[in-house]
Amino acid sequence: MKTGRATTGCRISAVGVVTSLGIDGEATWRRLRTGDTTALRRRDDLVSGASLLVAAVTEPLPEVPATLARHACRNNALSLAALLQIERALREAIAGIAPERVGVVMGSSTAGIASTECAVAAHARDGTLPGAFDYVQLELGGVAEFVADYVGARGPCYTISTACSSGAKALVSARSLLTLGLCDVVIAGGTDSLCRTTANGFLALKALAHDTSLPFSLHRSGFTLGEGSAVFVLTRDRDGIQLAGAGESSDAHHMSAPHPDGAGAEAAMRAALADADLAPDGIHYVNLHGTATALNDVMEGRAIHRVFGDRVPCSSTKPLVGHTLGASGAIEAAVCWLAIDAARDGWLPLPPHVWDGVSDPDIPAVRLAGCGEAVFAGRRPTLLSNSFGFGGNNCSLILAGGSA
Amino acid sequence: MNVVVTRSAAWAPGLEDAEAWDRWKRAPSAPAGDAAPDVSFLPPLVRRRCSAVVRLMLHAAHACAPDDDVATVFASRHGDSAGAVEIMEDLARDATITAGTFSHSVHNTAAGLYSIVRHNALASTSTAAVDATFGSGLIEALGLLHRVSATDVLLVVADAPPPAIFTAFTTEPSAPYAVGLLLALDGPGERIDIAASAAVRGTPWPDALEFVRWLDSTEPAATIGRGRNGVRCSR
Repeated sequence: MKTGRATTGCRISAVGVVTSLGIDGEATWRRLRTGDTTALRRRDDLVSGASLLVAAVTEPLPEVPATLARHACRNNALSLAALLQIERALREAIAGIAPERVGVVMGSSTAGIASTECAVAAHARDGTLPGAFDYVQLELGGVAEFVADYVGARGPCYTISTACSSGAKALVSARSLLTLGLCDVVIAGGTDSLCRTTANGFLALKALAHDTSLPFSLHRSGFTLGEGSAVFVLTRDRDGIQLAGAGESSDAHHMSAPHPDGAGAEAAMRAALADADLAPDGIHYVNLHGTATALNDVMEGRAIHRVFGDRVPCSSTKPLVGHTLGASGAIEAAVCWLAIDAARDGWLPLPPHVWDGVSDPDIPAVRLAGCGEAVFAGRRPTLLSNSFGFGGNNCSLILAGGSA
Repeated sequence: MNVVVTRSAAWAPGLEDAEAWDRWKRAPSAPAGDAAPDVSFLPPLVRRRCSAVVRLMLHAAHACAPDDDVATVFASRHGDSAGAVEIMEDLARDATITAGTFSHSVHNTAAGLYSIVRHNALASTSTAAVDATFGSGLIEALGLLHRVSATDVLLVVADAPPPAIFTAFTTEPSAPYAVGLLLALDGPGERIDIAASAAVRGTPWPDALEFVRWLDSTEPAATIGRGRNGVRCSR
């Protein structure tokens, strides 16, 4: 579907990012670049009787302020850790702007399911919910409300929850709030946290990797579950790193299996290109959805091959930061932002595709980025990021550096 | 922002037909009861997997009966929180959960099923915004209308009361309800103007029902919704 061209700019002026690789963008980017998989840990508290390899955030998280105690759960602490990184840029961006003109759009699929799981287990045991629990922690809308309360924003505020495309779509909706003139600044992003519900659910779907996740490999067996957050400050400015295009589509095929030909994925990518007024050769790098499930990688490979052939370097960053579900679209947009920010003299450093190098003959040839690789992107590095969710919900984002 | 409401549909217990609606809009009150809407138009295999809120949403979507493919927005405060709690209770006693239960537990289940049943491959978004959820759906629908300017947008807003375990925190809504609105940038229908409006008090009945009540009235303007997502509607 063609998405209406933005008549104004959409500048992404700051990024806060929390992943298993670190609780700041610098650490995340440095360890992504070297293909560092040492952050992965085994946890035995998520699935009964099994130890699960996960990309958990292990560093201490900031405490949710006492005035926002009802929002005190791990999911919001992850959002807060991301917000604190951009506190200064954020305060500068909203200084002198009426709070009613500051919007918040967050993407999430889990919200505080983890804290609710503990509360429900306690209720089953004791007949009462723990005193520290509040239902707003489970509410998807609570993810955005916490950010808005923390920031002091009083403009439109909501959470997008379209499974694994949530974080990407939150940025698209944020841009709409700017282009519609409803807001002058929008804080947007995505946050998801590890919990037993998603661990057991994806285990039942046989979507979790037996060992290391190997996207696009013949030996792939699924993804490593992760957690994290990425938040951005978006304004209508035409300079700086831009959200240059977005495309959305539905598969209309199956609740948990993508369309085998990747028709929906292709539609989303082509819509994003049309929205950014770009031909496929205007893209310098594609961040794959790349979940390493049998079905995703075949359909995504087919769609990529039809749109880009085997020319554009691609990688999945999920083996490094895990699949962060509702946050993944935001975190992978942050990866693209960090790559643009790290570009020097026209050279764009790429996050590598970490795998075993064994191609699957069923996946059409796609150029996978190697470790340490950089491509010449000139004055306007332009990157596309794919996110595909349950229900066949697809979103592709295009981020571009400099001014057009 | 100008928008044309092409079609609208509202459902709640006691508001099941046009006559009941006419009575209600003369003396509106918070709906009560736990009736469920008709979803016999759904294939049995799909129907079997529908949670209460998904039934409500698909009923409202069907009642608006778009002729062509449309982009969609599904807004719900609680979604299937009852289903989420059931999964958590199963996990608390070390029972396994099934792939089907899990994949139908996402917030965008109704959106996914609608696209599948209608073979509708256009963009779809699902939102939530605590007690300001109606406005989140309306605002997102306006954004989506401008993103996909060639097609209409179907907005569905529905909720059922949260599960009993959470009633200490909220009992909103008092009863299940569902509203469908078919929106266009132009063409025949009720043309209205929508602007952001902070500090709205809200009504004792769901904001989405209040919106349809106002549409159906001769009142020139109304402030609807609450919290950060309140809107001023005028014609």
